[in-house]
Amino acid sequence: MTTPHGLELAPETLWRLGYRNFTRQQVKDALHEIYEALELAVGSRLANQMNKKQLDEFERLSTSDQRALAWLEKTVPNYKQVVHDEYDLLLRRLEGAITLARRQHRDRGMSGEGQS
Amino acid sequence: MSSRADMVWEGVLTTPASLQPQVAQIEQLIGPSETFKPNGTTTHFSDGAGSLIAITGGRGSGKTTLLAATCAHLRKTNRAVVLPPLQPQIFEATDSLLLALLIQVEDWISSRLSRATNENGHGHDVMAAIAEATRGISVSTGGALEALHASRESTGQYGVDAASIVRHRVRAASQLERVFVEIARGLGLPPTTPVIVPIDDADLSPVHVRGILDAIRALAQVSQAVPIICIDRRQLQLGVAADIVGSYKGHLNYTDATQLSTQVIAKMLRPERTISPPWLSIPERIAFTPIGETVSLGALLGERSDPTSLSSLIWSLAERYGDSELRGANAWLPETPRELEYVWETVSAIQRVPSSEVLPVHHVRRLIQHLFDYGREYDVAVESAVSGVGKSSKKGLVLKWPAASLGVAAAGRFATAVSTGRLRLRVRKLARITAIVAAEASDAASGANEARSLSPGTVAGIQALEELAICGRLGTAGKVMPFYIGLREFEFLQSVPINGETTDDQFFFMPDSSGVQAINRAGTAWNDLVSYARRSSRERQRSGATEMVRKLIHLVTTYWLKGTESALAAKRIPALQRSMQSASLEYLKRVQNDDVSHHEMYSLSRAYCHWFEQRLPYLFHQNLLERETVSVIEQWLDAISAGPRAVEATTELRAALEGRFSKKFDEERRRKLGENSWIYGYEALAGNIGTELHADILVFRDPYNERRRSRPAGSKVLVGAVGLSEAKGTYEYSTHNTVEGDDDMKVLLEVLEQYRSR
Repeated sequence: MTTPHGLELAPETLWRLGYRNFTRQQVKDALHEIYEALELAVGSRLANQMNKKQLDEFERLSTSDQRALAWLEKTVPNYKQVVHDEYDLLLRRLEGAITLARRQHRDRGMSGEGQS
Repeated sequence: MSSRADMVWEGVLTTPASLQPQVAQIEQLIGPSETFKPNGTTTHFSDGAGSLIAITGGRGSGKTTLLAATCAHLRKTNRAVVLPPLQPQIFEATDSLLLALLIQVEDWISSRLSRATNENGHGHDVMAAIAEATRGISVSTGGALEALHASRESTGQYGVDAASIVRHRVRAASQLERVFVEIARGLGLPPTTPVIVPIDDADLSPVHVRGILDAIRALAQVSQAVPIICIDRRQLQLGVAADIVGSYKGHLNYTDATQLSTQVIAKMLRPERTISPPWLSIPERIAFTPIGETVSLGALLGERSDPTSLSSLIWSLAERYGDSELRGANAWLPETPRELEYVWETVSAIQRVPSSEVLPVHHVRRLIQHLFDYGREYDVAVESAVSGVGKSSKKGLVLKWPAASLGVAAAGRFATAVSTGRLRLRVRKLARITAIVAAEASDAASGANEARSLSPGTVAGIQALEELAICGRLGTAGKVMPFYIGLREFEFLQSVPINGETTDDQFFFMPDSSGVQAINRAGTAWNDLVSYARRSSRERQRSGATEMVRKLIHLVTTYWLKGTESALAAKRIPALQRSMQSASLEYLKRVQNDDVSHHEMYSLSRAYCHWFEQRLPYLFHQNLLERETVSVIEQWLDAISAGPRAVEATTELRAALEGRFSKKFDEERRRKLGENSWIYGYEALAGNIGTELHADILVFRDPYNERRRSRPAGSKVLVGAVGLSEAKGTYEYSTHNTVEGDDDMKVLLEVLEQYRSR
C-alpha cells in the first residue's frame, strides 16, 4: 500500500491480510512485531552490502536521521528497493500463513461434521 | 553455657593411651606441623577437600572421649585455637549452631583475652568482630522470609530486598572468618592459626539436625575453622530421615527418606576425614572417668560394692555370656565408655535415693543382666518403692517432630530390674527406629487426606537445591564457590528422575526458606516451564506458554548478563525494568493461581522468585559462563546502558536471546577447579543450561559488529519508508480476547519467527 511514507503498516493492513479477530491491543502488538522484524531484516541486508569502514561511518552518522539517510542513498542506492522487497515478502508470508490456517480449520470442521 | 562446657571437657582426667594413634591421626588431618609455624607464613590447610573431621562410632564407643582427648592434646601443643565444645542438643530451638557458637565463643574468649588484651589491645577487636558476625548471621538465618513478606507492595521492592538478603548472607560468612582471625590475633597467634570447633553429639538434636549439618558445613568453609564433630552415623541417619519425613509431612515414605539421608550424610562425611575411636582395654575402661565426673568408674564401684562379691558376680556373668576374653577382676564391665557411663548413672542414681540400704550383689547382678538384655539404649529410672515417685536418670530423650506429628520416645514399659524394700530400679529400652516406623504407619492409616506423595527424586532435587542455598549463602564474588559442594553432591540427583524425567534434562529450584507444603507443585510448575522452553516454538505456541516462557527466559538472561542484583538498579534501561517487572508479576500470578490458599503464610512464590531471579543467574554467571563470553556480553551491555542506541540495543539483545536456553560453561575453568568444585557435580545441569547460551553468544561474538549495526540501518531506512500507524481505519476490533484471535496471533508470531531466522 502506498502512503506518504511509501509503505504502511496499519490495522487495515492486518485486516486486508486476513487477521480479523484481534483486539485493539493485539493489533498494536502485531504491528510492532512486524515492524521490528522488518527493521532487522532490512538492516541486515543493508549492512551486508557495506564494508567495515562503511559500517563505522554509518554508525557515526546515525545520530542524525537526515545525514544517515543521505549517506545511505549515496552508499547503498538500492536501499528503497530492499525495503519494498522485504515488505512484500513478509506480507505475502503473513497472508499465506493465515489463509492456510483458515483452510485447515475449515477442513477440520467439515471433517468433524461428517463424522458426527 | 561455656562455663559448663569448659567444666565438662576439662574434667577429662585421664586419656587412655590407646587413643593416642587416633589423636595423632586427627592432628595430621588438621594439617602438617609446618602449617602452623608461628612466623606468620602459614599455608592454608584447607585444600578444598573440606576441613570437617568426623569422629564416628556407635553410642558409647568413645567418640566424645576421643574428641576431648584430641582437644586436650591440641591445647597443649598450642598449634591451634581450641574453642569450647558445642553441644547442639542443648541449644535453644531458635538458635542456629553458628549463633550458639558465637555466643559461646564470646564468653570463652572474654576471660582468656583479659591478659592478652593488656598486652596487644586486641580484645576490643575480637568482641567487635563477634558482635558484627552475630548481627550478620542473625540476618542471614532469620531475616530472609520476613523481608520477603514485608515487601509485598511491589515486585521491584521485593527484588531489592532479596538482593539485600543475599548480601547479608555473604557478609555473615566473611564475618565469621574475621572473628577467627581476631581470636588468633587476640591470643597472640598468627591469623591463619586453625580454630578447632569441637561439636559433640551433632546427631542428638534430630528436630533440627539438617540445620545443624548445614551450619557445620558452612563452618567448614571458613578458612581457619576445623570443625571436629562426633557423630553416630546410625543415629544421624535416623535424625536426618525423620527430619526429612517431618519436613514433608508424610509425603515421603520412610524408606525413601532413609535412602536420601544416607546420601546426605555420605556427602558430608568423607572417608579420608573420618576417624573411629579404638576399642578400649579393660584397664582403660576401668580407669575411665566419665565426662563431668572426677573419679573413675572403677573407683566408684569399688566404693559401693564388696570387691569379693563383685568378683564372683563378674565371673558368673562372664560364664553366662560365654565371653572368654573377659578375664580379670573387673572383666564384666561393658565394653564402651558410654556403657560405663550408664552404669555410672545407675549407681549414682542409687546413691541419690535416700536409703541407707546397700544393694546386695544379686540385685546388682540382675541390674546388669537387664542392661545387657535391653541393649545399649535404655533408660533407667529409680523409684521409691514407698512413694512410687519415679526419677528418670535420662531426660530429654522424648523427641518430637511437631510438623509431622512424629514422636520418637523411649518405647516399651519399664521393667523392674531391681526391687528392694525401699527402692525400685527400672529399665526400659529406647527405640527411635520403632517410633519413626510407627509414625509412617500411622500416616498411612490416617492418610486418605494426604493423597499427594513426593517421589524420592523430587525430594532429592529439593535437597540438592538446598545445598545450593547454602552455596549461595556463602559464596562470594570472585571467590571459588564452597568446596563442599563437590562431586558427591549431585551424583544422587543425577541418578534419579524428577517428575518422571531424568535430571539431565530438568531441574527446579526451591529456596531454603520456602517451606515445603507446596513444593511438589512448584517443582512441577518449574519443570513445565523448562519443558515448554525446550520444545519447538510451534509446540510452545500450541501450549500457550510462549509468552510466559519468553519473558521468564528474558528475565533470567537479563540477570545473567549483569550477574548480580545490580541488574535491578538498571532503571536507566526502562525496557529491561518493565520487562523484569512484567515477568515477575506473571510468574507470581502463575504460581499463586495454582493454589492461592496454600501460599498465604509463607509466600512460596516470592521465595521461589528470589531463587529464580537472584541466585540462579548469580551462580551461573559466576561459575559457568566463560570469561570471554561474559566480556562479550558486557561489551553489549555497554551499548545497552549508555548512549543514543540504548533502546535499540536492548530490543536487539532481547530479540537475539529470547526463547533460548543457555548451555555453556567454561570447561577449562572447571578442570582447573577440579572435582572439588561444585561445578563438577553440576555438570549435567550446567550442560543443559550452558551450551545453548554459548551458541547464542557465538552469534554475538563473530558477527557482533555487523549485527549491532544492522538494526540502526534498518531503523533509519524504515522511518522514511514504512509508516507505522495505529489509526483504526476500517478495522473492526474484537471487544475481548477470543480463541480465534489468539490462534491468529500464534500464526503471525510463527511467521515472524521463521522470517527472522531465515
